[in-house]
Order: sequence, then structure tokens, then C-alpha cells
Amino acid sequence: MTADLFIPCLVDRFLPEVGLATADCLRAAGCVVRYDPGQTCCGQVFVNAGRPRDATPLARAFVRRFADSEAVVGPSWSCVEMVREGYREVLDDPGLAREWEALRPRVYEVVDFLTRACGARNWPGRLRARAVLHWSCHMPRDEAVRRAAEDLLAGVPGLTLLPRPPDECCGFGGVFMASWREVSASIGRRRIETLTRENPDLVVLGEPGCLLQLRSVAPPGLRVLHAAEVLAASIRGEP
Amino acid sequence: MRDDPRDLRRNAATATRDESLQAAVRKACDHAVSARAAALARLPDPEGARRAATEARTRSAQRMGDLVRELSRRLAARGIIVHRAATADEARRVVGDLARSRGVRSVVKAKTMTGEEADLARALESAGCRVVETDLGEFIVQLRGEPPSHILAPALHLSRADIGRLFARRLGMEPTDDPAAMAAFARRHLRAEFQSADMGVIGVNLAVASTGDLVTVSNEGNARLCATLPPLLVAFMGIEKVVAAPEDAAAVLRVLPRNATGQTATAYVSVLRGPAPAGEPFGPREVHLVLLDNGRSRLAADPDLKDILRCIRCGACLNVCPVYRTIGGHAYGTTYPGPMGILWTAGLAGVTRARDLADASTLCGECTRVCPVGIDLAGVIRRLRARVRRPFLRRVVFAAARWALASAARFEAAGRAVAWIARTWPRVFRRVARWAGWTTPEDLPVPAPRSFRRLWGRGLPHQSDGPPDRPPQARPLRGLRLADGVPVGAASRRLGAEETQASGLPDRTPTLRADSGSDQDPDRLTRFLARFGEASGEVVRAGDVSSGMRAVAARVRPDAALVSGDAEVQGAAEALQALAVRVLPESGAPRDEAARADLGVTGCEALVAETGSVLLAHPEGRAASLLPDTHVVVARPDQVVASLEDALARIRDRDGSSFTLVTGPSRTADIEKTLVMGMHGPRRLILLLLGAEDPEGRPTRL
Repeated sequence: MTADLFIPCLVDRFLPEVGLATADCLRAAGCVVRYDPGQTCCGQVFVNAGRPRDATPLARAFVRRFADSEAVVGPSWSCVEMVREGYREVLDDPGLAREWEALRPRVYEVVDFLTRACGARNWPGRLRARAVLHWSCHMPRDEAVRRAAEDLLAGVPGLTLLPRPPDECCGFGGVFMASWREVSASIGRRRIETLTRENPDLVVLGEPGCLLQLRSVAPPGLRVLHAAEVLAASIRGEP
Repeated sequence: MRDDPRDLRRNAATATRDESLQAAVRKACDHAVSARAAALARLPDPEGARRAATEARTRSAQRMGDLVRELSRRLAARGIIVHRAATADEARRVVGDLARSRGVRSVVKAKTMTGEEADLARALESAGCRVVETDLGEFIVQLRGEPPSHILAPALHLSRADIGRLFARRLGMEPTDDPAAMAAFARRHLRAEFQSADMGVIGVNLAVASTGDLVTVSNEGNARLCATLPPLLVAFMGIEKVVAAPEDAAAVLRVLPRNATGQTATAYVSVLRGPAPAGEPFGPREVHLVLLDNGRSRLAADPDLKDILRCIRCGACLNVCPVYRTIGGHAYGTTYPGPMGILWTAGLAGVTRARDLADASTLCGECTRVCPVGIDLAGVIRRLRARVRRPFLRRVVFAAARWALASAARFEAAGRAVAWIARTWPRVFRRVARWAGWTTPEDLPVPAPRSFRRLWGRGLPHQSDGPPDRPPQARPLRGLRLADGVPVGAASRRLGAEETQASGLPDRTPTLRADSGSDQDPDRLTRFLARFGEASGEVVRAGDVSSGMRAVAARVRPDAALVSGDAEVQGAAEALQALAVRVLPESGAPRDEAARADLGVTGCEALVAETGSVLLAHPEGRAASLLPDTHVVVARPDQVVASLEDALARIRDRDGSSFTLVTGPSRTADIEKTLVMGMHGPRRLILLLLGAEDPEGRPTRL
């Protein structure tokens, strides 16, 4: 299978290692990985900031760019949600809207793609860590999706997956993280408190926004990694 | 209406430094969230209940004008004086004039958020009245001179120690941090106010157009006292609270308490139909209803905001909102805080007022997920952001972002420049970030020195099959087991459909009446007893009323009993007299004597299996079920009906000005969510179940 990388703007500029890990995971699952460097951003930031019209050109470009892709895979649940659901309100051209309808079921979050489209069941390698999961607010509330992702991570040799505390927002919220910094950081610190009750040394998540936010408030010694980074590190056999 | 969120940002930042506020709010919200989850888990079909409530409220919102007219007509026919107030000002004038013309000096007030919206208490005070808030939480915040900080739990931001100090300072109570002692103290203090008040004020949770029923849910019993003791009653509601028919009311009553407090039913669901007829000893002689519009009719035409008219004020969206949980209710500066408050304020006070409010959300979507009437709160907040005018600087920043993101080369160049500045001149970078709104430079994320784009291809722009050092691989890694995946497209098509359904309006009609059994259901009594017990009701079973009453008297040792009811209740009264208990018939007893009775004995109209409730048709027991410490209900097993719908059908065609569904004893959790029984009404509720004695102790079958 050929997988086209969907690299969100935050990953491109702040977290390139998450993008590389995504590619590594896809290759490990036997995919041919392509990256189109013409891409920039899905437009979510504009919709959330109340400027949906600014997202329209980005949505159009996205649909045109990936119209012929076999699968489009990105390391962000919220960006995937933006493409799958948010584009409905943003795309104004009926022709493109039809192309989008055809494209949207082929747009995946990376772990979801590995487990459901590739059927990955056990992940090779080794990663010694006591990990706790922070599932982002934009991950579907579909138990099957969550269980598949959790099973895959729990199966990584050496990785102990601690019981997942109740889901709660990390306080990122896009522009909110910057413009409401005190509140955002306060929410983030509380989230870290809940996540670290069982003394994990690793927080695993599936969202670049949560990653930036939780890293900004995490105490020293607590690693915060994207699920793709965890899987990629396991293949490399990093401790 | 408090509708001035100008200080929201500053208040919010201050709140993040207030550890005790944060701890109190978070604890209360966590409590509410887990109680809600447990209550919904006990429903056989929570999604069905949510769909039914959503549809009932959608019907209401769509036909609001017609339904309000129908309701007004019916109420007028029953002797309720209806005032339609277009604005909060008008509502204040109506209530102020009323108080002045009737010579009202003291007012006991139950909780009404609509009244809060119209600043009703101030209107009464300027008409020369003394207004006493009687809901424990409202009473506490009134003593502090504060508005409520949560629409259901007004004093949620305070600890028991805060409240203990307040009671000591303002009421002269011996300092304590025992919520039960504080509640008992408030009960005594407020009972005297109820006895002497000239006017009662209550809120209305929903009104049924087809029957003219005004429904108020409460736990403490203060709303019932307000509607029982003072001679004049004013009920207050927003026009959107009207529903078409009793089935719609049942659908709402099924989700409201579960989502609000995690209860199957609140202790009291009161149905008011009119003033008490002459000759009845208790109940208001004169009843007014103020129907507040205050922008709601206009709101019905707003494509984004109209959905908030479905809101039933359960508060579930407040309890889960990460922003509310962090800053509490006062920081908003609005009558309605939290996600629903953003929509209500934008809707009623105008979108321009909602600029900072619209930003007070992480868009995590939890509010949308919990809303029992299917309002996509997060979606509306997002659309609201598109409608508020932004400062020039912000518009410039976003226009620049749009320009940069339109081309990969520009995006790369701009990103590279920022990354270079951040690394070369970190202090400049931080200062600019601070100027742009980032107030805590120590945790500022810094762009990576090289973007993914550069790391991947080392050059722009070209299509690549991968970096040269990592050739594409067409086989899975050794050791990785791949099962058959779901074909690409198929799996997520299904997923997409589910997501749409969860966030949008339901597209199916309700099929299940939650937890309602058929008429032949043999386990109805068993289910009733289970629910009755969950609500802290006690059961005494007896073959006949005399032996039953002796058993009850042995438990509660009463001095004086207020009795009201048919032949069986009279039998109970005789049994009590034989035990030397003073018996006062509710219809003849002087009020001050009735007030001193420590036992109330009534019959009932029905027992409701779904909720474990006792249905009372007043005048029977209007006071006997409310004033004494213990309320005993005499009933027979064949009085059990299955569902809320059945209970409402029972009273549909029955005469009477007032009905109450009683579910367990009066209670409050307004102090640190600690449950205290007997807030304003009975501390104990005992069901004397006749003819149900089973020597082997098996559950009785009908």
C-alpha cells in the first residue's frame, strides 16, 4: 500500500521528529511512504479562530493534492477530524466537495491506520517504559478505535501501559494555548497531575497540540511522546 | 442580567492563582461528573433517553410562540395571572408593582436562574421588600453578597470552612465545619422566614402547554414551601421552558436530574396548576406567572444560537468544561457561566458582548458530548468566533498566517526565520511572544531548527519517495504480525458516519421508553421498592394499618401528627391516637400547631416504579408531606404504575391545583457536595405498604 504523509503545520515546524516517526511506522507496516512537500496546513487553526473562509483555500489545496492518494495518513486526530468532518463547512465548490466525499474515508490518523487498515496486531522491538495514555479530545469516542490503539501500544515489548485515567482536555485548544496562557497552563498542570498518579515515566498521546502543551508543563524526567514516536523508538530498540 | 464579561480574561488569570477556589470547583465538578456517569449507566438506553429529550425540546423551540400562547390560555382559565415580559426591565416592573400593590414586605425566594437573569431580587428590594434566598446555596451566596457561581450549586466555590466562618460571622452560629449542623441551622433560621413571608417566588423548570402544568424540580423542598405557606406566589420562567405535551415533559424529567445531580429523580417534582381554592388550608390564594422573553423570540431566528433554546439548565456542560473547572463561575461575569453561558449571553445580550466569552473554550467538545438535549455547544462556540469583531492586530496576524500558509515556500521561509530568531535572540523572541499574548516565557514552545520538510527532502519543492538514506520498503518489518486490515476507506466511512450522528441531531425517532414496564409487569413493585430505597426511602410492611402505624411509631416516636387523607389515613390517625400521639387534621389545624407536628401522614395517588416516587394529589398532604420531620405515606401494592408518563397521565384529567412527585426525603448537597437529609422538608420518608406482609420475606408479586 502507498501511504501519503499528511504532516500538520505544527509537526512540520515544531515537531519534525513526529513526522519522521510516522513515516518509520508506515514503512514498518509495509507501506510505500510518500511525502508531498507542497502541503502546509489543513486549515483547522483558521476555523477554530473564527476565520473559516481563510481555511477554504487550504481545504481546496488539500483535496486536490490528495485526490488520487490510496491513503492519507497523519499524526493528528484533530487535523484528521478537520479533513473528515470540518471540510464540510469550508469547501464551497460542489465539484471539489464531491472529490472530498470520495477522499475523506481514506484519511487516517497514523495509529488508527496501522491497526485498522494494516491490521497491525503486535509491534516488534523493545521500549522499556511505564507509560500512561492521554487520548486527545478529538479522538473518536469509538471504543473499537481506542481499544485497537491501546492494544497495539500495550503489546510493545517492555512497555507497561498503566490504567488510563478519565479523559480530560490538556488545555491546548490551538490559539487558546497562547491567548489564554494562564488558564491553559493551569489546565495542563492539572492534567499532568491526573496523568502521573501512578508514576509513569512516559505520557503517550496522538496529537501534536497536546504534545506541545503537555511538554510545556511536564515536570523534568517525564517524557511526553507521540504514539508514533513510541512505536518507532521500539523498532529502533531504544531504551 | 449580569452580562458583562469584559473582565473575563483578567478574572480568569486571577482564578488560576487561587488554589482554594480551584480545589473547591474541581472537587464539586468531579463529584457531579461521576454521579452523572453512574446515573446514566443505570438507564437501560441512555442514548434513547437523550434522543427523546432532544426531540421534545426541539419541538418546543420550533413552536415556542404557539406553545406559549396555548399555555397562557390554559393558565388564565385556571386563575393564574400571566404576565408576558418582553425585557428584563419589564419583568422587574411587573414584580415590583405587584409587591407594592399587595403591600408585600417579606419575600421568600427559591432558585430561579431566569429570575437571576432579570435581577428579580433587586427589583423586589427596591419595592421595599426584604428578600430571603431559601435554597441553601443561594442563601450562602446571598449572605456573602455574591451572585451564584454555578447554575445548580451556587456555593460550589466555597469550602465547608468558608461557610462555617460565614455562618458564625453573619448568623451567630457556633463555628463548625459540619455541613449537617450548618444545614440544620439554616433550616431553623429559614423556616421562620417561610412562616411569616408575604410572597413566595419560585422558578419553573418546564411548563406543559397542553395541560397548563408548571413543573418545578427541587431537592431541598424550599420551592414547595414557597408555594405552600405565603398567600401570594410568583412563578418565574423563560418562554423557552414550555413543552408541548406531558410525554415531552416526561422525556425531559428523565434526563434532567440524571445529568444535573446524578439522581434518578429529584426529591420533589412539583406540578402547579393554580391558586389554592378557598377552603383549602395551605397554598397560595393568588398565583402570578412571569413569562420572560428578554431576547428569546429574537434568538429563535438566529441560525447558530437558536439551539440554546433547547437548554434545560442541567449544568452538565459546566461540570466537564476544562475552562469552567479552572476559573469557576464568577470569573465569567455573566448570569449563566460555562459553555451554555457563552451561548446564552451571546444570544440574550448580543454577540458583540461575547468576544472574550467565545474564546473561553478549548473546543475540546466535552460540552457537546454530555449535553442531554443534543446541543452542539462547541460547534456553536466555534461559529460564534466567526461573528465577533476582532482587534486590528489579531486580524493582521491571521492575514499574515493565511498568506504564509498559502505556499509551502513562504511557510518554510517564515518558519525558518522565526526558528532562527528564537535560537539566536531568545530574549527578543520571548518579548515578542509576550507582546502577542504569551505571558509565561519559561514554557514557550520553540520552533525546531529544521522543519520536517527540510529533514525529509533537503530542498523545495519536489515529490519524494523518501529520504535517500531511508529507501522505501514494500514489506513489513520482521516480527510485525499483520492481520487482515479493514480495506482502506471502508473502515473510516463507517467511522465518519458515527461521528456525524453523534454531533448532529438524531435522525431516529425514540423507540424505547426508558425503564418503563408494561402493565402486566410482575416486577413493578420490586423495581419501585429498589428505587425507593436508593432514594433513601424506608419501607414498613404490614397486614393492616393499625399494626403498621404501631411499627412506624416505634421507629420515629412522634409527639404530634399532621394527617391528611382517606379512610386508611384516618385508620392510621386512630392508631396514633391509641398510642397517645396528638393528631391534627391538616384541614382543620391552626397553622402554628401544624408547624409543630413532627410526623405527617398521607395517602398517595400512585407509586412510580421507574423513579421510586410517590405521587401526591394535593390538597391531600400539601403540608403533612412537607412541614414535619418525618413523612409517612400509606399505600397499597396495586398503586404502583410503571413510568413517569403513567404518573403524568394519572393527573392529566384530575382536578386539583397542585401535585407533587416525592422521591425520598428532602436533601441538600450545597456544602462541598456533602449529602444532608432534611434540608427544608422531611428528614425521613417512610412508606407504609399495606396488605403486603410476606412471612417468608420474599418480594411481593402483584
